[in-house]
Amino acid sequence: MNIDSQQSALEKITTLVVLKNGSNLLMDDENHFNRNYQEAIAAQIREIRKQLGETVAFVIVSSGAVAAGRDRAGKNRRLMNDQALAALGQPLLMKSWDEAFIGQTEGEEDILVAQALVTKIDFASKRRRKNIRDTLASLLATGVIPILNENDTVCVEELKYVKADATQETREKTAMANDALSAMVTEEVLKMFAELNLTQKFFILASDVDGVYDKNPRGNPDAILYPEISIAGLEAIDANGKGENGAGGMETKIGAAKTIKSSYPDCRVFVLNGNKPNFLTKIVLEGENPGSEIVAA
Amino acid sequence: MQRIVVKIGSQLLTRENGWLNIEFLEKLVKEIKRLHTNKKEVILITSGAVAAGREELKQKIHPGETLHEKQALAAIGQSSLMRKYHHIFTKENDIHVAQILLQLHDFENLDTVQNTHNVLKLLLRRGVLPVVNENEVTSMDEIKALSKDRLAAKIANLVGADAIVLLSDVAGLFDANPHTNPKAKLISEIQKSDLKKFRPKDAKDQEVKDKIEAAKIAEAPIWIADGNLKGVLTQIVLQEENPGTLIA
Repeated sequence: MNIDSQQSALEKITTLVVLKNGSNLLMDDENHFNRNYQEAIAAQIREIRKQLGETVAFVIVSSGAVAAGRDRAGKNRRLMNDQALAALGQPLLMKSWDEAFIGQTEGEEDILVAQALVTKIDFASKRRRKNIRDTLASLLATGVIPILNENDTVCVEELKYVKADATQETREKTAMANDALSAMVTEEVLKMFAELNLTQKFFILASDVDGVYDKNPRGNPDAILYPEISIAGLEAIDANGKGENGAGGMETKIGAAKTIKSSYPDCRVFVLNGNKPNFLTKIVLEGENPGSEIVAA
Repeated sequence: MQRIVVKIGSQLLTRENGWLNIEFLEKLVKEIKRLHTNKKEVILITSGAVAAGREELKQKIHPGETLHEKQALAAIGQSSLMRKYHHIFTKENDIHVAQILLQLHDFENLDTVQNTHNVLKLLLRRGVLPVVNENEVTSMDEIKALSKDRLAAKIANLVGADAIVLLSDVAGLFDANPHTNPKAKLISEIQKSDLKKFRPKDAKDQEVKDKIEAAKIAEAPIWIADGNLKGVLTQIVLQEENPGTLIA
């Protein structure tokens, strides 16, 4: 594809969806790597593309490399740290994404996915950001879905202290890092494509929690889900709910959601449960809210 | 030699149309399997992501490919490349593979270096084959100008490898350019200290330069050989023969 045709393909894009999924969604109850979620996402993206055609572009930020690696390593898993497990698991994670996007019926085309492993440093300078932007632009123009993840193997801050026998708390710190990364990626993607004629922007944080609650729903059966919550509302939870909301990594989702909503008020931000059937088509095609929507005020 | 870093040049992994040469990959895997059976620890430095990406898109190589187009192709192709490795190694030969993507700046940060070192050692200890490539998607260098030979040398230093094997489509270092000069003679052994004096006639040959650059930073000896030579890794690693050039 040459630069002119790439530019005209990019100009057709009016809807941008950035979807971040937590690693819990890629595992079943017994912590085995499970492809159901990926298949559900692929089916919904196919449906959305059928209706919106070349006007919609998707970027996926996917955790799950460590989970896939742990599953693959079997009894060896205790002997490997999370970075080694990520090295083992990342190809499997991508393989699984790729397979989920293979055409299901005769004549249905495969949707291609591309792997981009990034660390904070890749966004550290204007030149580096432009580099990533141009690469993502090439992919989106071709209708390829970039699947971003943190380059865990070389990444120092986040996974460094996650040993094979790490506690749940440490693992949550890892999840936190990926939420922060997804916010950074989303921000960059939105910034990068600011010159495009985007009329709809979505940032969706999917995990195994239904949305934003007034307190941690785990252990608090009376916790109430907010279908809509403002940035100020989030801040209030943030301030007084450290302990209770801390578990489940929810505060990082809140942080990521807040970052995007305050910089891009016209971007619709959702925190929701990725196991909800058709959450993606509901949001993009039907204008429904299957979880919590973060609103500006 | 116990721990070996093997680098495969992109010429070996790419067909004329710019797609992936799967037959070569299959041959290579058989050889690595033999090393594994003999309890050798192998780290593979691979290229081929861009070629695999072209193949996914069914796009022929064309002279106007821009850097970003190549990076996008690498993003598409890296995972299909790993899928092919996974298929051939794990499904057919029961060797687990792990993907490590690095860029040069990763070697400038001591923490990252320490991390990568730990991960590689862990993987080797568990009998997993680390497959290392340049993280071409985020790399700032021109893909073409970036030398996998140097990456191989740096990785070898990092894990204290006993040997580095650089496979490409030429037999080794020559005293003249073998492509243009029929009288060019293969140098079978050269000391690192003599590399300074080594000035091939065609000093513009990027490949030769890359190999010399790699040799300058490598702590382990380097074998340069033709990857198409039958049993080339067995010869070098198991039989300790030298079918190409040894830089000691």
